[in-house]
Amino acid sequence: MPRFGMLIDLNTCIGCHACSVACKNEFDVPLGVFRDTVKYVEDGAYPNPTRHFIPVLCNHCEDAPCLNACPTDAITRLPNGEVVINEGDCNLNRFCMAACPYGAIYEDPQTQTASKCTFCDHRTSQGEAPACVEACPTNCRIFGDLDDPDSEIATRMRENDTTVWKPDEHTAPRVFYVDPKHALPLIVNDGVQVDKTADLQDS
Amino acid sequence: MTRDAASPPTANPDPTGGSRDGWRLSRRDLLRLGAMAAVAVGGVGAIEITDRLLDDRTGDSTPEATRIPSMCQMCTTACGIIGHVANGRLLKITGNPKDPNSQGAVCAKGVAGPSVLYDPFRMLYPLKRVGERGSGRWRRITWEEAYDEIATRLREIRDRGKPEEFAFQQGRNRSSDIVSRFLNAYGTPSHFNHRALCSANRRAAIATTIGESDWDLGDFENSRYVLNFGSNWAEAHQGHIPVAIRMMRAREKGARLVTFETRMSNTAALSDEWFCVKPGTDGLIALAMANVICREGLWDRTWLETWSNYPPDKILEHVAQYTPARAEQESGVPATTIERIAREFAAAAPECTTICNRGSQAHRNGYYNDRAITMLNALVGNMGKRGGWCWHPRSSWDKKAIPEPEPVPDKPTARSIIAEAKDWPLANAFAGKMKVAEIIYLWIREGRQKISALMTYNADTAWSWPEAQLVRGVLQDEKLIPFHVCIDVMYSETSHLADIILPWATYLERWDIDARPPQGLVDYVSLRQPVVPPRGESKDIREIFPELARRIGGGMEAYFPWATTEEYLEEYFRPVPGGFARMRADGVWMDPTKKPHYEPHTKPLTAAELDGAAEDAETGIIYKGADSKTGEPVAIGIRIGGVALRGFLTPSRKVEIYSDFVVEKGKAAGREVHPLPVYEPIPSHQREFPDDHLIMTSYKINVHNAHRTMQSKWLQEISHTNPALLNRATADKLGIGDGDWIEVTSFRPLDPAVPMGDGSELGTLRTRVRLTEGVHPLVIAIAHNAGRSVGGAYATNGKDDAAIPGYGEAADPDLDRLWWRGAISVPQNDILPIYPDPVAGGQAYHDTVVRIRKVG
Repeated sequence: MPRFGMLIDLNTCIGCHACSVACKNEFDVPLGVFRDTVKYVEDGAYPNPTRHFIPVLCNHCEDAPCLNACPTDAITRLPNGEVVINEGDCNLNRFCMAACPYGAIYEDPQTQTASKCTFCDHRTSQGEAPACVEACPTNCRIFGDLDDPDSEIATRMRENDTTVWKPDEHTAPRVFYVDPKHALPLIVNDGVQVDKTADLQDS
Repeated sequence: MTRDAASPPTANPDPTGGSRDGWRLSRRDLLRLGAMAAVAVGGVGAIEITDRLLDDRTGDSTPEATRIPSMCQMCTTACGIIGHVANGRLLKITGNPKDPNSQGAVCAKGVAGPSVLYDPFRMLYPLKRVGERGSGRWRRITWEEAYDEIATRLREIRDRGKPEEFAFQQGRNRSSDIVSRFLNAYGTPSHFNHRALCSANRRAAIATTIGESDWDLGDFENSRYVLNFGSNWAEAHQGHIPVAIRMMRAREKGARLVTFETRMSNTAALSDEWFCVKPGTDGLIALAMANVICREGLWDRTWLETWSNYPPDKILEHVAQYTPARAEQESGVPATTIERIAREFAAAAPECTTICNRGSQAHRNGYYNDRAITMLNALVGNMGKRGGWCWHPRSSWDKKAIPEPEPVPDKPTARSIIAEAKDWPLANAFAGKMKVAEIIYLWIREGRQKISALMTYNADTAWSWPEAQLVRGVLQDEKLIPFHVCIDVMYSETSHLADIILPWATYLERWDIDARPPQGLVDYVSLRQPVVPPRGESKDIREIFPELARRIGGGMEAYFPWATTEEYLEEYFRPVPGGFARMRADGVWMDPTKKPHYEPHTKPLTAAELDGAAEDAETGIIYKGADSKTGEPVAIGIRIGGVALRGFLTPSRKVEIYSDFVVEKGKAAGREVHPLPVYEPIPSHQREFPDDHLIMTSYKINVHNAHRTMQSKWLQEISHTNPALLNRATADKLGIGDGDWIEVTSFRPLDPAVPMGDGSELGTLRTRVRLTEGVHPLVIAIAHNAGRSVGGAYATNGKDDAAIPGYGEAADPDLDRLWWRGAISVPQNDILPIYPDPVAGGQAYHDTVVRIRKVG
């Protein structure tokens, strides 16, 4: 059984949002919530500022706080390691949402259940890549079996220094980053959801 | 504003139509129903779930989605796509790996295609206005009624012998064959485009220099150093994804990316180094680099002596005035930086290239800026070389190998003063005519050309043109525009001012033969084909134009002998091995025998080519035959070092650092055009700016393109607002804080070479401020992909949710979740002056002087 993981190489992410739109389309994710977004972080002062692009999604943690927090056992780990929510067992007690340090879980307005990225288990079980990986124009996302030493992800993990989002949470994420500019700690607006407070109103 | 039905629809709409193909029958519902089962069986593809549920309903046993190759048209890049379709519904879009340009990659806009196709506010039925023009009162009509009225109006104009009074205004047109066929068959030269709002200055600069092409295609993938002046290839370049994927591959191989830009675009942020410049000084920086390269002997002197029409020492003499110190003073970039970058660029030669675009060319001095940037490549001898600054003679497919099916109508003999735009010497000087888009509606208002009928096609001029309020005034005036037909996918500011609206099929529902400048330097040809049938009663111009031609008659119909578009394309693609069937299966074809277009100028002329040729002893230029129209001898090459070579396709057969051609064109237009790349300071910027005076620039965000991307709820959800970007230090001086309201008042340039260039106040907008470190202190930057007032709730941030006759209520559960309702979104174009570069006519988007004032 493979042990799936994802590597995101921030050297080549161009911040285009193809991943998050592909995710919206794959699951018809309702407006207002996201399973995958691209964070933009501005860093530094004029005349030498920069902007970082950081795609974020559920980390499918080895030690998943959401799974531990769910009182109805609606959150399970598939044999390949993907952490999924079984909507039928969810009574929307929101414990998982509170437990997740990444803000990856949202309340689905249609199903009235907790929902999040599934690592596209419906696709990966058929040998396909997740929708976000398929959509990435620069192939900055690598998905595959961490335990297969010949897999691209394992190779790239060996060849690069990698890190994870919020290592201090000790959740053992299985979404890894190549982060040459140390951008991950700069994420200010927490969570996979968009920062709606950034909007300025017209009146 | 209301768009109420004045009378019931004349045709009976399919009572289930709205819900059958709208969002109501949602994959979300299907997925939700299938989700538990999916988990229970350990994961089943979403597509299969959908299919199985549909199968239960329809009895259809097709288990797999059909994959239909086609081409994107969310922007102008036209990447190869695959539509995944099941039971007549488009499930998703992925890239077509067979496309040599995009190589299977798409961006967010491309992926968002289904949200445009199934936009609940899309126009699906022909409409005729029943109130005053612009009142928003419409009656649904049949296609028969629409055809009849349009053909009657157009026939009358043509029969009067005034075909030029029928004007056709296109926006982005990827159906150029059928558009030209229709207009030429009709006989109108009043074919207005938008190139001057896009790329005219840069095209003119490149065409002046190398002749063969007006579009550079840096060989980025093999380059070690890419010097970028104001191109935002990571978000909006005409070669967006094809360029971006090659840049990132170059980066993985260690290439260095350096950007000069007034604002921290995503491209600037992705570059190894970004230098913030004062608007309009890119050319001066390039000239200062030329100064360093020449002065320090970093040039490829041998190449220059061979291929430049102006000797190296003369170039050195010319650029001596452009010192790095002077460039620092004007641009703000330190002289030491300019020197360092110049040296690094030259050291990487020939595996180095420039790239430039709107940041350098969309200026009052844009032509000269890009002349200077282009020259840098000649200096280091990278032109046409692997990893260097390259180009391709074809901006689309090989039209000699795959010609238009006969009979092809001749070009019109009637004249259009507006299309000719003779005040701008280089606007129409080259093969690819550019015209001067920003003056069209001004000149109509001034009565310079009479218009009896206007057809707008995929062009929201009333929103997207400079001085859009002037355009709206003209479109509103029935004396100036007695009849206006709008063809578009969505209701827009422009269709709001039409007499008849024809609902256009989206790019996912129609046919095209198409291709783009090949970033891989080998031309190809592609097919755009319907991945689903057109929704409602929407139609493409490939169906509309032949029908109108038949009804107008008078010989026009003879150019449309094909019964269907498929029949026409069957004939068009006959030269492709495997023909139309192969194109339908693969979506693209590239001749495998063709090699990348490296150094075409060094190709020796063959004995057959030289047979009967004559040589000019002084210049070495080789001539053969005479031009059929002018009788002038035709140059075919040049003798270099005793060998007859093809050379560059310029008058001198060399790279024209010095161009007599443009000087002559200038004289004919009564304008002085400098033969060399020069720095021409922007007249209205040559003064001390008080603290509250700034230069307003515009930009485009990666998820948006033209008006129609704002139809997409998914793209709008990511970007739907355009506050004014202001440097923190500038704001501090003015006592402006983040989120504060400001009033931005724009001025026309005080510049006699610009129409209405009297320095007067033009207009005011009110917006709010976003403070950033990523913009020049003298700049206020506002994204122009915002500020729609009509076009549905998603496009307008909830302002316009009026139902259009024939639609029924917009059906999409997401409408209740439109969370960005009321977010600020202002139309910048209303206060952007008509401001053409006096040489080539390209619009100066980044030179407007404004005054800002804190309000509220």
